[in-house]
Amino acid sequence: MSDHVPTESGGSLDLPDADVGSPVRPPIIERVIRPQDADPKRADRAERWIALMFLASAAGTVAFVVFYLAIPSLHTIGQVHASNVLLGCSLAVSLGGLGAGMIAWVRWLMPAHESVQERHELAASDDDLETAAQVIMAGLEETGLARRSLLKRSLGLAMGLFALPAVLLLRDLGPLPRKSLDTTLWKKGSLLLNAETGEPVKLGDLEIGSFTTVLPLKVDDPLMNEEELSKAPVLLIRLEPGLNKPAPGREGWDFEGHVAYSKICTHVGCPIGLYQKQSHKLLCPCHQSTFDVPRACKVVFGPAARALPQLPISVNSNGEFVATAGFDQPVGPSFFERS
Amino acid sequence: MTTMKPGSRGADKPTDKPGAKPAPKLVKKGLGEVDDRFGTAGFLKRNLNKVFPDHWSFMLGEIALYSFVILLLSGTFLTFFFRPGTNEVIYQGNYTPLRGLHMTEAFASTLRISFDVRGGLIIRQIHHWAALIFMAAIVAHCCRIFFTGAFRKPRETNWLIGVGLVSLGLLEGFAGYSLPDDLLSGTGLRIAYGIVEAIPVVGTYLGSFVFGGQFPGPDFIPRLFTIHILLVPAILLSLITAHMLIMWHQKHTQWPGEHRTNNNVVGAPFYPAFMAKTGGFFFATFAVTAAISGLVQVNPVWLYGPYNPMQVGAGSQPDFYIGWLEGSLRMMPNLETHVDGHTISWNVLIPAVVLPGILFTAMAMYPFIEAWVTRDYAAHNICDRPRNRPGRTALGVAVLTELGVLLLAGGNDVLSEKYDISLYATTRIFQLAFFVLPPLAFMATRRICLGLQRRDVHSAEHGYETGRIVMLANGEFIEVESALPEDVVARMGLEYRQGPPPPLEPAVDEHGVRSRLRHSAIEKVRGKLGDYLYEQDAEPPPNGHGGHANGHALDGSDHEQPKLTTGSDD
Amino acid sequence: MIVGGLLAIGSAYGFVTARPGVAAAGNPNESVLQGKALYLQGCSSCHGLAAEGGTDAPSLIGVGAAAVDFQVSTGRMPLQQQEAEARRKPPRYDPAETAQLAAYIASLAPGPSVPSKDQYTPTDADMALGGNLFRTNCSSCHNFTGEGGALAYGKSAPSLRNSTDQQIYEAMLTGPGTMPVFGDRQLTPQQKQDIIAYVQGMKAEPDPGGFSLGRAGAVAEGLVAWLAGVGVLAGVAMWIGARARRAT
Repeated sequence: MSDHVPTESGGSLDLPDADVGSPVRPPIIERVIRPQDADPKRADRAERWIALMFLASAAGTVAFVVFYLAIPSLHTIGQVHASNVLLGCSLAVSLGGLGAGMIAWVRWLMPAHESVQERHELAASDDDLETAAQVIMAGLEETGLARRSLLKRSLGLAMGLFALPAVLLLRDLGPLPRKSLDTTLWKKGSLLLNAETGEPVKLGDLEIGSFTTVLPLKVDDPLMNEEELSKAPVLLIRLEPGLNKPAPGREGWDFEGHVAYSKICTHVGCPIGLYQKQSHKLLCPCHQSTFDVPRACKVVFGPAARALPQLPISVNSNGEFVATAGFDQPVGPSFFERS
Repeated sequence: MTTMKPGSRGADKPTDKPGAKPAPKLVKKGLGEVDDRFGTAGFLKRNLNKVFPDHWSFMLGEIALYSFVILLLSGTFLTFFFRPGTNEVIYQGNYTPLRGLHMTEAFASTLRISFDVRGGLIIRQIHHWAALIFMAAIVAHCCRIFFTGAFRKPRETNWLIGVGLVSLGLLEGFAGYSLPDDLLSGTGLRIAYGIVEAIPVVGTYLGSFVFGGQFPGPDFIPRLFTIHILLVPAILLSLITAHMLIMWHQKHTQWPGEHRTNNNVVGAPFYPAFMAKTGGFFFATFAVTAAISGLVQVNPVWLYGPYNPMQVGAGSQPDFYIGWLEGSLRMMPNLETHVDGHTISWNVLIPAVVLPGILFTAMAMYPFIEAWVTRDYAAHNICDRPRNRPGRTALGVAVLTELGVLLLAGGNDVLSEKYDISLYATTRIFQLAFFVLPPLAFMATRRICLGLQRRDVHSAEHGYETGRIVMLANGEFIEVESALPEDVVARMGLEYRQGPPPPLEPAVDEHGVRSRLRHSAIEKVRGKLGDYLYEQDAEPPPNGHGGHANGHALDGSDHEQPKLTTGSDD
Repeated sequence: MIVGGLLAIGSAYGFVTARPGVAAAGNPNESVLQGKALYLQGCSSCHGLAAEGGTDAPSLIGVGAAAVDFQVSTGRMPLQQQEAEARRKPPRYDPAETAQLAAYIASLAPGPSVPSKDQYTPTDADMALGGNLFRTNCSSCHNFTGEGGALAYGKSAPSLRNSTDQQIYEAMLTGPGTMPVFGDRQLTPQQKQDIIAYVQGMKAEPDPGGFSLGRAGAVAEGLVAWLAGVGVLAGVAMWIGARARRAT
């Protein structure tokens, strides 16, 4: 037992009663003697337990292979379920056995002595710092940048510009927004088509307290791509007669208690499918923005700041609902260019 | 230059380490071949012995690391089957409730992985659970680093890398669960587009370029795929490597204790003990993930159905690491200003752009802010016990409380439905909690820390109560207090507590001139912050020993109260 | 004499008014009369003596037998206490009594009749189409597979776990409470069957990934990741780092 323990860097650690241990290993400052260190029989027993864990792992691996092959095809959900549970659990045993065994091996059999190691000063010596700084300066001197300002400035220009192509190549990632966000496929004369069947909605199809989702064109129409489909859905709602209070300038936008509003929430764009018939409110399920249908869908709760855009509707001679014009404003979330 | 015959370095040679067993020839030969080419022996000699401290809280980062490995492995398997196409297909696979429906190829291939590929569902679930555990472990690890002050010099760079890893992990997870293009994640993408659109001036352009047009954009799922499997994993991998190398080079921090100083590391050597521990922990992480994946369903996209912009489900939730952003979006009042034909959507910008911006910026800058306030620019290799830094701990708890409020607010409709609370009431409650709970949490935590410190000092001084009551000769009853063992006192780390930073110079110098530095506005701010955050209360109360007026050790011994230090340690 | 007078008026009334599609067993008149007796005893205190409604309850004139069958067979009515919405609870009336109540209300004015078994039992139903319809019209209140969801003003869209085919049909047809009405011209009977096939199919379907956590979504999944994932692994870490036991 020595008091001064030599360290790698040539210094020494002052550790009373330190045990150097093996000279190629870090010095030990606390010897820990566990029951199994003192008694070889216990150590053997620990070894057997660890072996059991490794064997369990092997068994788990075999089980995985068996289960994988035993369920050759997945036709029913029951088979998928069984496969998932069996494969997952056998994998867990296979990996867990290895993990537990390795951890147990360290804790029970490998030496548990506490070793100590000195931290080297991270910073280099003052001389090294000075030398490094001088190397940098000497190299800079060799570049001649300090003297040659023409070189420096032209280099600056070239370096400053050279990355521009990379930025410019991104231009065709997407089209310029232009007016695309301002318009939808709805226009004067668009029939209100049932979103599922594509059939025009007729007067009398909806009962009082009903609402349905309508589109200006069928879903498989060539003009109806995904982008237009994200702006086109409209809710046709039938209110009790006399309930609707049209906003100024919107008299005639409703028809016999039927009103049509954009389905796309003006907060961040979720479709609003939630109509509470008794309170005549539309509730967006994403962030709980609530719109008062009889009052031009103005916002009564939640983070949306704009009322839902209204689609003016009427009924044609065939009894089918038609839009008498497109939307008078962009639908969906607000954006900077929207007034 | 000497020429060496192959295998000649394995020859017996007297070692300069007396007492060490000489290595077998074969080992030396093998090592020699590698060493000839790479100089490995020197590296191994130094690094295999590297000592790693032993504490469970140091392994939280490993959970994240090994979850990342699991993600790479399971993710690679998934890429063999997943097709990131937005082209429409008609599903004819095994899952009957969706058969015959139009859906994107992305969704259809996800169904194929889940229902047609053997082992597909378990690997898909392992991938998703590993992602959730990855993010949870990162948060836990981040908290450990914060509350123990392990971000201080020389580890600020690692902290910055960590902030980068958190943000990238968030992005990666969001991209990953949006790939299947199901109704739930598609709704999330719609919300993301709406948030981007709201950014002033550039929002609509940014949205159009990132998504390839208006929402949803035909190129978006394929781009997300590239981002998710190539770009972000590459950056994550390099950042994680840098993170580990820096930690290796600087050596790990350690808790205070006997024999532990700022200039050493106490623990177990890397090889073989630490390798076995960490290797075993990798298998344990994988095993736990596999067990959960086999037994608990996650992200059942077949129940959500394919994405359709006209459809949405009640109780739509993002994964928890995005949940706090969802909560902030829900709680924000509907503020919007219209200026000169333009709209500024505060209702979207503040919760979804400004709030995370402030959070991540503050996180990144925190080590530098704290160093400035405490004027502590020394290197620290000893972890702080959270109680010994009441200001920092209270701040951390307040921020976590705020994030917790937002996280719960993100699920307010689920809470409302499950626990029968009015929906609007939950909104109001969380809006109130947003302002009220964090200051309360701050104050409570600070007082708890100071109280715990006081208890530590008392215990160090007086020892612990044994529960033995003894009657003295004069009839007085005392409880015997027994001195704490040395190593327990050492673990309290009382000498590492910190009071307010000392002033830079006296308020008035020897000539009676007022110090301009001391009276500058910035220094006043710094002084107030330091005083408040680092106020110490470790002196015993003025009336002596409080409730333990008669508590002594039987032998009357006394422990000297450890002194307060400020600034760096030895 | 009063009873006799009531009986006379009731039966005369029963002869005069139309009774569309009353699906009650036995003599229709008798069903109506018994239904009225039950109504007066259990429902009239809120809904009025002539079902005209009041401050606490809406009028039942014209709601139809289907609405009554739905509300009574799910136990929502009679309400035990005034609350924001009626919740499903064990029904107070047996099927025969329910039919009688329905017959009585149907006798007051025309309204949607109780659907026949052929109407509500899914035959040649397309579960995939039904799912699509469900997701367009229903899931924003009832959640993706009908687990239920929160609504404003203290209300909620209930879970469909305990709903029968008939009840689902009737709910769509009559729009109970704050639920919108989905009439047969809006959602055809075949479409309704598709939706019923979807809802019942999803209920019966096992969860292949394991325990479903109530199909509640990411909130529950996050909790499991923290507790079972990080929590258990932190425990393993504590085992790894625990102080070794010393001998003696």
